Amino acid sequence: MPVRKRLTGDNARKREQDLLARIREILGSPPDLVCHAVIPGDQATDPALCIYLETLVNRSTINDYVLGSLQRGKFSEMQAPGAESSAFLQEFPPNLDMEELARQAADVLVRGMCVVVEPSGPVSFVRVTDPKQRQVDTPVSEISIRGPNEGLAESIITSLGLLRKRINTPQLRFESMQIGYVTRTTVVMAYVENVAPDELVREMRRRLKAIHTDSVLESAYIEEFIQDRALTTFPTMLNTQRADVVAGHLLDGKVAVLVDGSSYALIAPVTFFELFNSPEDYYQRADIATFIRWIRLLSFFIAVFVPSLYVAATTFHQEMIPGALLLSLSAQREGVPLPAFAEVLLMELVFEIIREAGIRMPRVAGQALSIIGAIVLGQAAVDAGLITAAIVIVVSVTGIANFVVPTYSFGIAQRLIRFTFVILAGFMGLFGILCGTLFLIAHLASLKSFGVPYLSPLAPAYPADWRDVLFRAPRPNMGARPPMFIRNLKKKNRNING
Amino acid sequence: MIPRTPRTRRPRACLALALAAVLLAGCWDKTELNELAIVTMIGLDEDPETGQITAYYQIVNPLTSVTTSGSAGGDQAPVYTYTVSGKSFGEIRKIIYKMLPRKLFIAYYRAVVVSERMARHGMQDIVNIIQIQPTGRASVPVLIAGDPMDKIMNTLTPLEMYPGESVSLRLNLLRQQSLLVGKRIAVRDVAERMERSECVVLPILETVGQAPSPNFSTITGTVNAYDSNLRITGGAVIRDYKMVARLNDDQLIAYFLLLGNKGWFTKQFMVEGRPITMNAKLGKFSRKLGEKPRIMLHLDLAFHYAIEYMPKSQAELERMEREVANKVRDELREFCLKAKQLGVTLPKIQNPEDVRIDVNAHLEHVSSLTRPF
Repeated sequence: MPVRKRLTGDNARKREQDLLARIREILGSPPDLVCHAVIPGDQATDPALCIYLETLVNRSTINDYVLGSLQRGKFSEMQAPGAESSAFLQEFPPNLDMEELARQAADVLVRGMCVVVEPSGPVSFVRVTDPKQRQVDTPVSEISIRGPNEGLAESIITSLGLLRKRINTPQLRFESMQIGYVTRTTVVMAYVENVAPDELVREMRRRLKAIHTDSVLESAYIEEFIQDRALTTFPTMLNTQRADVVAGHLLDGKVAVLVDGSSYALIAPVTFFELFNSPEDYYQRADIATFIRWIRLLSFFIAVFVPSLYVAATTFHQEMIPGALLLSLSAQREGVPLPAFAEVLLMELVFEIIREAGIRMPRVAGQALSIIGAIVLGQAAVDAGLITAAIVIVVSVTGIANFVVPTYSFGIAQRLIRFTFVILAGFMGLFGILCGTLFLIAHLASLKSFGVPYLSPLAPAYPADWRDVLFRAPRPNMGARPPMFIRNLKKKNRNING
Repeated sequence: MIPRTPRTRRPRACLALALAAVLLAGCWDKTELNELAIVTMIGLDEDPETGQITAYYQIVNPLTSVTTSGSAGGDQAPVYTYTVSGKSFGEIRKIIYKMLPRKLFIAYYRAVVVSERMARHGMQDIVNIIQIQPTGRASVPVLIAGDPMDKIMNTLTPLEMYPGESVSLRLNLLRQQSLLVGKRIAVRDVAERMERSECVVLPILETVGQAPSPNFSTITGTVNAYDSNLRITGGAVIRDYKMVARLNDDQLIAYFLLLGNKGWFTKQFMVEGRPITMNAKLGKFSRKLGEKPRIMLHLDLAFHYAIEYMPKSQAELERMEREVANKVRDELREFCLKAKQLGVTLPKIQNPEDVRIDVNAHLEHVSSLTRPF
């Protein structure tokens, strides 16, 4: 135990002033830096300093506890052994020089703590953090009719609490680490021990620790570092705002990554068919869930293929179109200046622009956007003979079908693929679509998510898992958890480095 | 210089393959819908003396197609008939673009009409030219023109604005509701039957009223559907690709029953000296081939039009069923005896007059009334 040198009189005052000045200099004299000078009540000596950033702390704790204790001259806490890192009150090491002490003090100040400088005693810091955060709210991007609607919060403590509430087992593991040289963001890896394969947990830990970056402001930053392949439009990790979804996947033997400051958790591994699953599938009857799942699959094909099939059929393979429809389409095409390919491409682009504008536009202007989109770009363009009504229907149906998919990032992937297929169809008709489909299947088959083939459990086939792929079996017949394609990681002990 | 490794070569190879794929089929063979001349009906005629072939293409006028905002074409004709003559089908195709500004699209035509003189001279070339073309649909029905071809091909039909569509729909109804049209009347059926040395009976198309219609507004402006229309009536017997005889409606029903075609037909029978109109449909059909061929038919009867008389007891009903069956059997026998004279053949039966025919009938569908008022 180092012996603390006691300072008195001018030395103590100078030390306090020097430290405060240095802290202020390091922090760049921020407007929210507050310094209270408190004279302890029992002795009329030099004042103690209480320094904090008022935007990060809980003022009532400062007033009631810190300042009150200082005035009473009693400021201590019994610390549990080994609880240094999480204790309410901690002291800086006594043998630090002024420069190092100021640097460490500045460091804890920006983490929402209060630095207390006692005139003749130690320099300590108190955990009085009160991060500005939202309350637990409905997840805006993943609403369900039935089932819980608690979304993860930006505060990681709140999010972890939501997971603990759902998985009451001591085997639930949270591994915390700080990532980001500048932001030093808390990132937590969550899994259920003995359920998640060790290989998966090790691999996730390895990938997280291998991240070298200045900042992590959202879980997407982490996703780009740890995903298996960057050059793909398909998400190889699931991101969700729903606590129940994270809990469900953890129970399936997967690993979740939560980032402080982000309400989106990452889940890995994920397969292609899981992207069609919605949490509501498990809160509905099995037959209804299966039906809705098929609707989603159908919507996927509509969203990806309908515009390209329209282009291919109307410009290359007119003999495939039923007679009455051919005559109707032919009548619509009369006098339209653009070829069908250009029409579809143009309308799809316009639709994407409207969609993007709709997301960014203030809510009050939304109605104006709807009017412009529906009337001007739809009805007026058809009436003016610039585009055919069939194109408007194709683009609308495609756009609506695109929203059916429960995973937003997968929806974006569909949009990109759709454009590729439209271009292929415009150049080569059905032959182009066929080539594109083969490339797409080959690409999907080549993808892996943390060692799990992206098309599993269909390819490679795990028949035991088929009860929750295209059909959702009733819960008593669902089979064992976690699924085989997760368990096989453990069994085969395969290398999962992508 | 960076050595070429398989890793750097792979994207280049993919790019080369992708570019090569573009060459396989490209946008230069694309055709927009408004560049097509959509044919709904084809008429063919041949002068037996000169060998000059005349083709009639009825092409859709797209502006008259009905959309939500109504018909853009107003009183324009829904189809235009382009007539082209030449010494061969190839020549016709070659010179059609002297008149036609759009690419001929024949994948959607609904009927082929052959003039009677051409049918009597020989239809082999027609079958061949349709079968040989990649887009020529061999499933399209063939009809024989009972009137001059130009008259038929320049006649518009009410209700269904495209004559080809109108004819096609009527063929289906006549097959199902009247048994006046057979199932096998497509181009490929003609080819198959002729190759088996069997006959095929094709419907005959005639005009009614003041055909050809001078313009579309006279069709849409009149209430009488007979002012200008097309009519399907009778059947043309085709053997060895040549038309050899005509059949009337009773003969058509008999022939199609003997072939086993299932469709409703309506006849008036005399039962116990009183007339009764019955609907009948072939229920079961079986044939025994050999030295003494035998055809067995079971008819399902219905009382839907039997307003004249209705049996009042089980015995009366059985008598009625027996008499209907006997009447049908007699008519079929009579038809078989005339078959050779009409040029009609029955599949795998050498001598139709030797066929033994057994018919039984059973009431399957009663009417809403048990006793007519």
